[in-house]
Order: sequence, then structure tokens, then C-alpha cells
Amino acid sequence: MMSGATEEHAEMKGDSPPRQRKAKRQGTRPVDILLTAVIPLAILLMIWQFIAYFAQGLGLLDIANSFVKLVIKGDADGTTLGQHTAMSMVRVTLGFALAAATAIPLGIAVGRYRLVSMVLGPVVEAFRPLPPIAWIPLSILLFRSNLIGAQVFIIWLGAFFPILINTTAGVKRTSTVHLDVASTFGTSERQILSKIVLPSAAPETFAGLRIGFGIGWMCLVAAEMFGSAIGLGYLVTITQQTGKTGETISAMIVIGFIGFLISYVFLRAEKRLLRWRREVAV
Amino acid sequence: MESKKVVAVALSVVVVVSVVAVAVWFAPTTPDVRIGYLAQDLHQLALRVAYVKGWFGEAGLTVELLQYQNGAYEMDGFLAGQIDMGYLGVAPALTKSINQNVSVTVLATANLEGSAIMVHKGEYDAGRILNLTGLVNKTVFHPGPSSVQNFLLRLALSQSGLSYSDITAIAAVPQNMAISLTPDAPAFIAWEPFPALAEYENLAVPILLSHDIWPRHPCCVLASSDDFINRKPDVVQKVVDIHKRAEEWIVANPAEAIGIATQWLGVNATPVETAFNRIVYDFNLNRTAIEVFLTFLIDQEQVTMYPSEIGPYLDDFINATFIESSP
Repeated sequence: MMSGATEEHAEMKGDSPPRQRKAKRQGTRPVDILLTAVIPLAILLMIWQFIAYFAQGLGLLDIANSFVKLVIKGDADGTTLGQHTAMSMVRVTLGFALAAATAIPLGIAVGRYRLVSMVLGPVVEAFRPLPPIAWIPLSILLFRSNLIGAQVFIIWLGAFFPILINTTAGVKRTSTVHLDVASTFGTSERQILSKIVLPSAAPETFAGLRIGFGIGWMCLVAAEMFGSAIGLGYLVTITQQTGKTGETISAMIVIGFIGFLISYVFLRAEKRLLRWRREVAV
Repeated sequence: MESKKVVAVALSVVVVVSVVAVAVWFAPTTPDVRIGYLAQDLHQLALRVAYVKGWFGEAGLTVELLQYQNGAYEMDGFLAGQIDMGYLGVAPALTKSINQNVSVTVLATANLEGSAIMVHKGEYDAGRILNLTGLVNKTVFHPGPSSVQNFLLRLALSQSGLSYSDITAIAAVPQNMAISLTPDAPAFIAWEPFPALAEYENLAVPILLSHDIWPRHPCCVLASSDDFINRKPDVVQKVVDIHKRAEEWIVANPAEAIGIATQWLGVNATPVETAFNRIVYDFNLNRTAIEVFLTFLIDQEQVTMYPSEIGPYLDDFINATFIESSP
């Protein structure tokens, strides 16, 4: 069943299974490495060099020095880049996990049940356009001294809506034929949800998780700008305040790299777990 | 079809003419001087007084005022050429001018003192925190590592036989500090009017005024970009003259000054008066005090400078000529 779906997918993309197998046997070609790794890396370095030079007259070597200093010696308070990164990961993981835990069930409910959609749809749409950063002043008032709570809340806001919207869309796109057949055979609602709706919505939900994590990660810097003593966002802020541009750029590169890495992991997992759906593409 | 073309052309002409008319009508006029200042900072009352009293216009100067969230951003404003002169803390002025080669010169002092270490009112009333020793292993909010307040906090801890590592220092925005206080995070240090406002709202109690930590310590200054000093020394002199006049007026007319400050900050007069009385308005430069602060920044690795470089650097960084020439 699964292999049939893969073959169907391959045919649709124009690659016959034997051709795919041949490409797989050949392994990664040098030209692929050049196109997908070397050239993009060179472009990235050029962009950072351009930015660093025009922002502060810095070169890549200065940034590398700052990076090494942050890794080994740490910032002015002795907190190393690894410690900043670990704390940011904890915050973003908490916010993202909360977002997934709340948005997926709600997305299923909104997508599957008309009444829930009618009642909660407008509520969601009213909150969705509010940028997470605009919530910062209120989050401080809401969470008071619970600074971690306020930061996780901002990350949760960033991740919540993409997951919710994608899950809802995925659920709504469930084939009516499948649903009708299930109903005809007297399948329970629980089985419909677990055997038809959830698998059908999985690609969209996964895409929502990937986008949600990305936005949550972007919100991290904003979230850590208030009331922090550790974290990559805090590091960016504090090094900006003290004019240590090399360290600011180092922290930004780490934020970008981790975001890229996580997005890549999500894509690979998505491709592997949902290979039966042709819509999934890296 | 032809008529549609005519309508389209007519509409295009109307749009273009409107845009040109608006652009000409609202053509930006270049002010004589662009001055940066910090949001809700009572230390910089001299600028507000001069503005309200119309002394810039009196001196024949057109002024554009630009507000910044903190001194570091204001230094970025200097770097980006957004402002010519500015009121800001001596701490970010030193740190950013050294680390980012922002060419600014300090021309006058705006204020001395005017900060306080505040503690959670409940903890104070219960007798659990009456001095700094009660803050061991507790969180203390501060405005940032290179701020005057951070220096004062370290100094106060040292004076109490404690070290910075005995507390958990968390950087926060002064506006949020008082509402964030809890028994575990019971203290903050900030500039006025935030301590006075926290006290007025029954959120916090002062346990140490900055006067008690370091009498007459430097805080905010009036600075100018070096380029502007070279290009328009006459304008710089006029602004410094106005600054001196405003500082003297504040000292001579405290009640009126508090009135201006109250209107400016949009808060009750009581905390403004409390804050006002904790600030020393003085225009005289104190090189020794700035040197002490610079030494601290070097010690904290906020800036890198050899001891032999301190003197020559301060010779460039501080210029008392303008304030000494003021009538």
C-alpha cells in the first residue's frame, strides 16, 4: 500500500521508480554538494560580511573572534554561548510544546465541528493578526514576576496560530468520500478522528508545526529582551547595548543556524513520516 | 476605449500632482540642531524646561527633539547621524563610544545622583528585607550591564560586604520593574522617577538612595557628535548656554520645575516631587567621577582599554570649554 503510494508520487513528479533507485545508488554527487552546501554557505558568509562591514566596519575574522570568545570565555558575566543557547532552547521548547498541545486539538475541533468553527472561528481570527511582540507589555502585566511564563507566552503566541490554522485546514480538507464511507459502515466518531481525519490532516499539521516552531523561534529574541539574564535574545540585546557588534552578530548567526537546523530536521521528519502524501516536498 | 484612456491619464495627473503638492506643502525643514533625549527620564528635565520656556526659539534655534528608549539606542542615533546632540547617561556614552567608535564629546553634566535601590513593600514591612544583606540569593532587576545603576548596585553590594554573585541580577526595562517584584525577586535599581513612582504606588520602598552609595555620582550628560562640534560650534555653544540656563532655573525655581516635570511625565505631582528631591541638577563636569566609572567598565570587561589610554581618551571625550564659556 505504502510503496504503491510512493510509486504514484514518483510518477507524478516525472521520475520513474527505477530512475529514483538509480539516483539513490549513485549517492550524493559533488555537484549537489556544491549547489546545496558550498555555494549557499559562501553566499551566507558574503551577506554577513557585507552586513558586518557596513554596520560596524567589521570583518568575518572579528566575528569569528567574538564567537570563539563567547564560546570559551562567555559574555561580560561569564555566561557562555552554550549556556545562552541551552536556555533559549528550553524556553522555545516549552512555548512550542504548549502551542502544539493547545493548537492541534483546537484545530481539529474547529475543522471538524461546524458549531465550534462558528463560535471560535471569529475569536481566533480576531486574535490572529495581533503580532506576538505587541503582547509584550500585556504579558508582563499578566505574568508579573513570572518572567519565564511571560517569555513562554510570547513564544506560544507565535507558534500557536500557524499550527491551529494549518490543522484546521487539514481537517477541513479530509475527503468527504472517506468520511461518507466510514459513516455508511457505522464507524464511531473516535475511529473517524483517529483513522481518517488525523492521518488526512497530518501533512498540514506537520507543516503548521514546522512554521509554528520557526515563528516561535523568531519570537524568542523579542521574548528574551525583557527580564532576562540568559538566552540568545538577551545576548543580542545586551551586546547591542554595550556596542559589541561582533558578539551581536555571533549570537544572531547562532539563532539563524539553530532555526535552520530545526526547520531542516522538521522537513526531513515530515518527508519520512508522511512519504505517502505527495504534497510533502522539501 | 478612448474615453477610458482620457480618464486614466486624468487620474494619473491628479495623483501625481497631489503627491507633488503634498511633498511641497509638507517639505521637511532642516532644523538647526537635532537633540536626542530619553523617554520619561527626569534627569533630563533641563531639556524639557528649555523647550517649554521657548529658549531655543529665543536663541534663534530651530530644534528637532528625538526620543529614545535608552542611552544605547541614542548612541546608535548618533552613529546613524539621526541626532547632533543628546541627553543621555554617561555609561552608554562611554561604552558605545569606545566599543563602536561613536565620536561624541561630553559637554556638560545634566544631573548627579537620582537613582535608588527599591525593595518589595511586603518584604520590607515584614522586616525580611531591610538592607542589602536581605537580598542574598534573591533576584534584583537592573537596567543593564553597562548602566550607572549596575555600577551602583555592584558598589553597594561591595560596601555591604557582599558580591555581585550573591544575588541574581536580571536586566529589565525600568517601567516594568516595580510590577515584577515578588518575595523571590524583591528588589530593583533604577533611575528616577521609577523608584518614586513605585514608592507612591505602594509597590516598593527605598533601602538605599544612590546618594548614599556614591555621593554626587555622575549620571546623565549633554553630549554632541564631534562632527557637529566641528561644523557648527556656534550652535553647540548656544545649546550649552541654554542647558546651563535651564539647570540654574531648575535649582532656583523648584516648584515651577516640578510643575513642568509633572505635566511632562503625566503622573501625580507627589512622586515627581519625591523624585525631583533625589536628583542633583548640576551642569559642572566632573572628570574624576567619569574616570572612576570608566575604570569600572574596563574592570567589568564592558570595554577594553589599557590604563595608559584612559587619560588621553578622556581628554577627547570630555570638553569643558563650552560650559566654561557660557555666561
